[in-house]
Amino acid sequence: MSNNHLTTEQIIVGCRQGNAHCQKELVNRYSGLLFAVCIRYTGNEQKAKDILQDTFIRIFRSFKTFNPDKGSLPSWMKKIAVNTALKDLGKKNIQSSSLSIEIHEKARIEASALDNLMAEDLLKVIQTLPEGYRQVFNLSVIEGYNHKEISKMLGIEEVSSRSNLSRAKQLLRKKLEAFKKNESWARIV
Amino acid sequence: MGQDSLDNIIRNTLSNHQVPVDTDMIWTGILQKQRSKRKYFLLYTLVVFLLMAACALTYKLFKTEFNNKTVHSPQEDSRKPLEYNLTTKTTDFSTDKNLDNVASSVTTDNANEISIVPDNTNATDNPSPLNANINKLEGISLSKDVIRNSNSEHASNKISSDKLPLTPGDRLKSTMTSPQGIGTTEQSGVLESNMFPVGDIANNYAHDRNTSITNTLASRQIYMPITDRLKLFPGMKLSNTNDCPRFNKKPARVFVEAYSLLDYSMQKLGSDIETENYLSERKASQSYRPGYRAGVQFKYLFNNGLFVKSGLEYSEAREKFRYRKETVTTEILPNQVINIHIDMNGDTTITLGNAPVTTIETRNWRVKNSYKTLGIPLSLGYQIENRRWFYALEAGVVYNFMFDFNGMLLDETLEPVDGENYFSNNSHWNYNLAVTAGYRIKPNLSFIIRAGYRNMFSNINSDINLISQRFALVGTGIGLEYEF
Repeated sequence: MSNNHLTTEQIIVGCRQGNAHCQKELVNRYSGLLFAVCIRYTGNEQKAKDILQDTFIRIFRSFKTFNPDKGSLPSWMKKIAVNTALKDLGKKNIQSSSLSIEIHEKARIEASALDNLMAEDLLKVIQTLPEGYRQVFNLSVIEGYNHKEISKMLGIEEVSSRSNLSRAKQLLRKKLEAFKKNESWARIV
Repeated sequence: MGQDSLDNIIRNTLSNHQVPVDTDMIWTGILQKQRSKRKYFLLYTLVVFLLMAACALTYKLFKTEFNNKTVHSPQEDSRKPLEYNLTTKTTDFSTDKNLDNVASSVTTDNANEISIVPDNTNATDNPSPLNANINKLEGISLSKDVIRNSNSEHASNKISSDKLPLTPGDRLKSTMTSPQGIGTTEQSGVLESNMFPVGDIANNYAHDRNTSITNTLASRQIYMPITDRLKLFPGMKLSNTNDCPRFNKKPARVFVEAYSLLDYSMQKLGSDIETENYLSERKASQSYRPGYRAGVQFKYLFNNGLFVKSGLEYSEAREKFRYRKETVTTEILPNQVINIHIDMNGDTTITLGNAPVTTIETRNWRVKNSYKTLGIPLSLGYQIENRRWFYALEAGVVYNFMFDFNGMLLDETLEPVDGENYFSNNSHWNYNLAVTAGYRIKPNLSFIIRAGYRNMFSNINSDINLISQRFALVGTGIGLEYEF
């Protein structure tokens, strides 16, 4: 039987039993979704791949704790991906904060407007945010966590979470407005 | 545009967004990591088991050493050379009462001593007055018919090796003869299980049959190897027993030390001729940052100054990765100003058209790399002591069972990449040299200063790394050493 014919329920049962075929099918189906989460938090494709692998290992290990009544499989896996990424970033905070990539381009014109923003463009802009802002922004705006939860997850004060989110939004707004005015990437970044 | 609507756009766009990724590669990576984690789990289990075994052995040795220490003040300082004392005591056996006193003195004066129960019947049979020289071996003294007092003031005790070793329950007897040869008195008792392992001590003499121990040997020093001291009788309890021996042997000592060293790491990069250019780029992109080492080790110091050390050591060698890359691209873009013409009347004509536009992209990477290792050191060394100071020189190996690289490096196309795959996670061997000076700040606690050098025997790079890499650490630091 081809793995493509497996239903989500069959995959869940198979993964709970440690079936390698089901695990591989899970990877095939949800890698794209979880990779997008990882890349949003890391801002680095290579690192995101690494975290994605760790995420799947954690998912396989903790599949017995998954309860379909409490939420869907993708949202449960996304939570694990977020936690794995945050754990890894927290562990290598010095390295990440010291990484600085500057891009200066001349006369590169992007014809786009905010209304037509593609997900890839949005991702690129979000990745240019400083790490502290980016984490709070992702957790609050995209994942929908409140500040109390974010403060616990990141080990920061609730006030810091609020101020980081506010600054992140201001910065993002400026970048997007510049983007909307067809300004060069150099100014955006 | 309001902030809420911006949030909504972003949320709706990204919440279920998918980024394509090579799933086969991810699956392969997952399988490799699972295998690696399993391997590390086994290694950790092995290390924990070894550490527990080492702790148990240390505890056993320490407990034995502690219990073997006599409560008598002259013996408390175990570092003094130990002596086997033979003393002579003259007692008047004129009455039974006196004989009782003798027994009393034997059993109470020195709690260390094997009990001797006076045989009153024999004593009363003896003519009185009786002046006897009682030779008393403090601490250990008896074996089967071992102690025999001669009828002279220079009494001697003989140990017959064919009677050895003694076991609990053996009856012990001491015969006393008056100097004038008028009569004899016997004392006897039973070797109890909580007494010192007489057999062990006696075994020291087994090679020398009928060894005579006389008063003249009072200051004879006898050293006993630690292994002999562990030859206890089954079930023998040493607590509350001043084991015999006033022969004081220098016991081996056990220490635990915790230390930390600030390290300078010296990278050794090598390559073939084909990769020389790559090597020079790699060298240019990496520069030194201070690293450190920290560890906990047990030290077993023998009485001749030699010691063995082992434990766990963590090290972190660090470097800066800096790289700047400029990418120049030219593309033809429409509606570019290709000509500006000002005529005689001052009118300006601008001509637009397709024109090449050059884009220069500059990227700077500044990353802090780290090479982390966790290893088991095993060193041999020699230590000398001078009052409160001691100095030690040691050499050995370190087996790194865990290695982890964090950071970036240049790949062969001179692109900065995450370098985790460029290093082998297999175990590495190092050799280790160190010089230590210590100052005893409390009886059991010393402050130590150490300078150390550590170098790798093998490369740390994996096969995909075109150049060979290893590093040496030179460092100095401080620590504390505690003696059990």
